[in-house]
Amino acid sequence: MATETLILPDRPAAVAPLRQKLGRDDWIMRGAVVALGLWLILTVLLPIWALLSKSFQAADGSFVGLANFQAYFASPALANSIWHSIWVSLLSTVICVLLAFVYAYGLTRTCMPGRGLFRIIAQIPILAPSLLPAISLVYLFGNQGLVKWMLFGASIYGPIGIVMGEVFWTFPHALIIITTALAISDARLYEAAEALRASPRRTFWTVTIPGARYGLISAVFVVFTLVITDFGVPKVIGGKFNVLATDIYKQVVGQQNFRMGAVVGLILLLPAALAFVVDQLMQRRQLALLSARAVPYAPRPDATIDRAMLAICSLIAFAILVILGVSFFASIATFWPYNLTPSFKNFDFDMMDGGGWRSYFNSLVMAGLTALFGTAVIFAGAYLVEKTPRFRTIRGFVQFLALLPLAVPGLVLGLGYIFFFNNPANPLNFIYGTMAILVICSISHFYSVSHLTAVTALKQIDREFETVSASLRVPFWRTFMRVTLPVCLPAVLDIAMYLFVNAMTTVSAVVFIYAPHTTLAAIAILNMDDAGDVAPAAAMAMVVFATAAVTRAIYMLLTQGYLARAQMWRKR
Amino acid sequence: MNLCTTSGLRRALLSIAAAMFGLSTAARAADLTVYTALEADQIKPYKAAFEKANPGINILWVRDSTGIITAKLLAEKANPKADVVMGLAATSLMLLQKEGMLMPYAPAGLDKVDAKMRDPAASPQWVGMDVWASAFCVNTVEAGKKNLPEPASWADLTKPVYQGQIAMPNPASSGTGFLMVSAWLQMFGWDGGWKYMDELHKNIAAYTHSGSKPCRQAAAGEYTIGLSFEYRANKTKKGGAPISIVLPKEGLGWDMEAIGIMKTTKESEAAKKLSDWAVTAEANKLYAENFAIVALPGIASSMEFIQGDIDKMLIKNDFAWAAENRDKILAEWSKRYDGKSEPKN
Amino acid sequence: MDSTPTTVPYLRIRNLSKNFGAFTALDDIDLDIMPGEFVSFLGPSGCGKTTLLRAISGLDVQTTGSIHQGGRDISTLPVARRDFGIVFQSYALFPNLTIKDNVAYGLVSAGTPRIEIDKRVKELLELVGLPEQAGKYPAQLSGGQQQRVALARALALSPGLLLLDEPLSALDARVRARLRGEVRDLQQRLKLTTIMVTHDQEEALTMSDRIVVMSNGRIEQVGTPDKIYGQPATAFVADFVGKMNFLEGRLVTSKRANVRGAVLDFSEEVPLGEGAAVTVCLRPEDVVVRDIGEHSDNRLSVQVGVMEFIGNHFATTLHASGTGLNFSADFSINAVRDLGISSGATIEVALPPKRLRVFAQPRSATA
Repeated sequence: MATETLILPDRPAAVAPLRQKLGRDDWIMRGAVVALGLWLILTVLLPIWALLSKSFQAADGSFVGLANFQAYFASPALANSIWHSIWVSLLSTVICVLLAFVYAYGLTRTCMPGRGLFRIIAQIPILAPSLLPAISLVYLFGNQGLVKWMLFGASIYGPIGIVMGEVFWTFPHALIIITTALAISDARLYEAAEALRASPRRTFWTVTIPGARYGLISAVFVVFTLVITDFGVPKVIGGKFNVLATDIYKQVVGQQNFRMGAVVGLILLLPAALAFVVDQLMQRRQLALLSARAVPYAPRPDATIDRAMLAICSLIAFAILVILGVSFFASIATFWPYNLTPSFKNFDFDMMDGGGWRSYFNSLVMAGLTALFGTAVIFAGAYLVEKTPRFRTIRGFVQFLALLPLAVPGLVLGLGYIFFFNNPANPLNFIYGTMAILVICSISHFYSVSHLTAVTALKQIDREFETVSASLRVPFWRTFMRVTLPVCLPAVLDIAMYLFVNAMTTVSAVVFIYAPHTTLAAIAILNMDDAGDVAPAAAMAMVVFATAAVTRAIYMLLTQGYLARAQMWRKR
Repeated sequence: MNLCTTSGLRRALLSIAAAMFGLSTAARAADLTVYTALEADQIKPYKAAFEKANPGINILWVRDSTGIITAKLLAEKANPKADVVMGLAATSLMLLQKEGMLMPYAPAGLDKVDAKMRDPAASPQWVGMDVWASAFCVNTVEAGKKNLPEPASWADLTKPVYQGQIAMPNPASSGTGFLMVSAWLQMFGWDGGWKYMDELHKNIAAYTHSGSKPCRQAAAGEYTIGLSFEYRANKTKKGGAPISIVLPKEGLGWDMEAIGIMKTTKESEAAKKLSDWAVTAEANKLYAENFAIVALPGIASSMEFIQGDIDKMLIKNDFAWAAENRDKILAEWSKRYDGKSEPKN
Repeated sequence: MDSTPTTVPYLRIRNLSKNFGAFTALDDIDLDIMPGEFVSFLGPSGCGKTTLLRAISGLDVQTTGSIHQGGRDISTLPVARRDFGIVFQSYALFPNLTIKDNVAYGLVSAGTPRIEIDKRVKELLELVGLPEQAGKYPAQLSGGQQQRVALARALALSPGLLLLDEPLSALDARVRARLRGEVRDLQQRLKLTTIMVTHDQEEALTMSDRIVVMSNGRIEQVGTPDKIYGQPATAFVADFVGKMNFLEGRLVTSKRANVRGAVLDFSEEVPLGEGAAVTVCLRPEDVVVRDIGEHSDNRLSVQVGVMEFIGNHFATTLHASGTGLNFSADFSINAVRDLGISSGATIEVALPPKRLRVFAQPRSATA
């Protein structure tokens, strides 16, 4: 029997707070969080820092304050690009969000037929590099364009082409956000409006729009950022119309003027960072809007509205299919527009600029490695940030680092990578020019969205799993492997597919850091178009699209087929 | 996990690491990084022939337009990545020479090279390979539809009928563009040359990034006339494009493609072998498939669609002057016309 | 000295405080829990009961103070080095593992041989009354069954202490009532020291050996359910546990007070001077309507207000004639039926002096 031998202290006045002794799990998890933090500092923070500092330096590296910015704004052609970028981005954003809203409304609020098909078609642009719509637009509206007459004599080369290409490319991004916003609206508000005999129009303006407003605002910022930082579309179809994104490329790749590139990069960082901050604030409010007792809205058939929406959505879907189709036909035509006999001549990439088929296989390897390592690092990282007990300051900092890439345009990140990794004084210099740097850069570029997906999935599982495991003296990694990971498998696959498709189609970050033996398919498209090999560029774009589409199809089969069987436990 | 899968896994991890860091598990061959502005469809046979003759040496091409390759080489001056520069405009190589970036080397067989086509020093820093010259590609279908006469001279291009019909390479990025501008300034004089370009500018629809693109755009009918060079014109026509090839009668702008070894190379043995190979008859026969004039006299060319004696039509070209004034010319050009160029220069 | 073991507390908490920034969640808590005892922490949300449980489990270590479990100082030990099993309101069953694997989860990591694991799992599932469900997944079981699995899993490593965090709150009323008995029964059989956090007084009253009523980070009262209900130590406890009338008045003598014109006697002596402001507490069910005679103490003639039918009794408000006194009362169905009590009627009631509790005013701010 235990005998009472404890000596209890007298009440101590204001002593230092107790600190819990750290267990083995605590040490490992904290160590891993710190390691992740260091990794993100190396692959995100320091490259951005390198870019920022470069913009304040002279060619010899001495600090010159704002001299580079003065030089930039002194050149009217360059300063003009800012104005160009802003108005083209605004216009594209307005058109894209409007179209996406109508389309999303059709998908979520009406009973029009074929909604599943419309959903799939709308996702097509995400699977293609932004160069594809631009190339298709040249075939449609260029001087030899199939339907050139539709422009009434205006030229596709310039703002018209940029806006059309960007709207196509950003459409699915806006659609996803707005569909989500519309889908979570509360049916009870509509019932109340109906009971109060509000007209459909009044209900639309007083219930539908306010309910979706955060989604709309969020979509506006996302699209604006995507457009202002994209350079695939303006590069191909911008003609003499210069924008910031092409300026940065021109300064860095064309004239090897890295400091000026850094200046433009910094200017490009501002709208993206602003959009990021506003979006974060919006999302916080959006959460408050959702009450736990909300009843999902179920649309009722209405012949007039359903038919009208079907017509509009069909038109949009048709436009998407046409743009994809044109690139396809151009790629298999022997000699557009004079010899339309189908042939695979344009797929003989080895005789073209851009690195040939090797670029494609490089892209496959790069996207595969990005998906593999990216998913592992990002999911495990999100787990650690979410589940490490206490350690709040460091976890908060790592969380911040994980979200930072969302505010950094790909071009800016890529440029930062040159400055940071191509510095001979950097011990990590050896990865410059390798496949590794492309993979690391792509993981960083797409880190935030994947991280958020992982965090959302982790938040949905019971908070107490870790406590129960600890009380049963089971080490955390065992619970991670046996429970957390299997339960989050759909999210993990989602992340892997997102990383693969984006790594496959991206141009912006990697265009600055590929090397002769690591050329990539999306960059090959760019280079082929540059050399005037437009049809082969379209062909490569189709190959990239097909790869991304197949990946997506495999993902869907996996989640619906295999997972359904392997995850029996989800069923009752 | 049993041993077998462990070692399999390890092997897989090793090969991934190798792929990522560019390590090679095979016996190490000499990798020669060669910066070039040669056309993508030219470099394959050159590489194949050289590597066959010199097993164990592997060429890694870094290919881009003349202007970009030149800018890249200058930007990397402190820490050069290239071992050899091959198939770059002689004007650009002379610039590198001026910067002291090239290694003097007399390749075996140098004596057979046309004296006009090399750095005159006994150990030349660059040796020419071939000559490329400007040419127009005119889309006959489009010209017919629009009722446009076929231009025969540089002067014809400034006629108002051609307004918005012409594409030309941007001289800042394209060697083909630069040799045209340089030729006009030499033929018409400094002021006359800019006056000519002011007139021409009114008719230009687009300044392209690459020297090939205007001809390809003309071939596709995007623009009726593309100012380009004879290799691309010949090749494009061979590919079935409805174009006619015009050599302007005032004279052709031209430049040499040349080879030089970077002073900083760590692979100087391999680099010298490439330089040696570049002046062989075998190599010159390959050049001759693409160009009318090559460094070794007497090697027959076979450009089936080029009519006329290119050799006689070349202007008297002062390379030293062009190299000397390259920056000045490009700055002036950008100031006057940059608004119409494609995003990448 | 070979004393009786029950006098040595199994869990000993001293001077325990927890601050979150400027907010004091636990304020100087002292508490002893005896071996084999079932103790409930009861209080409204934010009272500190969950914080105290988290300190005991090591999920959130206290700012100051000490905790000893079985003689071992566990004040700053990490969760994994403490000795407890825990059951949450959400069950926290691993959804992708079968019931058997859930229960065996801790045993596997402890390196128990497979045969023994099987035996132990069988034993535990029999203990919680689910011997047939081993192969199913949690989602295939009802809420009550899931909570029993969670209990089995918590017991698998034979912990010295069982922590129950609102274990029955997610269940519907009927299942909850049944499980109360089962859990209590199991705890008695195993003689397992158990702490349960709950905001449900009925749960605390029916299951516990002792109840710790908490408010604002402090312990208001520790006692048996009977004592907590019948003799609340503070007005807060009186208010929180069960329904209570708070009647304000002034002392006439140390055993008599004038409450809004009605003079009430109570058996407890109040050590305050004449005229001191007091609160007299009366449970509605303590109002007597049967057998009222001349000698009944605190006899009042009252008017019956609106009668609310609750199901197993009636609740109503009574107004004492000729005074300003109003109070609620609960009458059993058969009393109402037998005595013909109806809304608006005037009847006689008595307030037994033994059942009145008197506190000095002002009452604590929480009332």
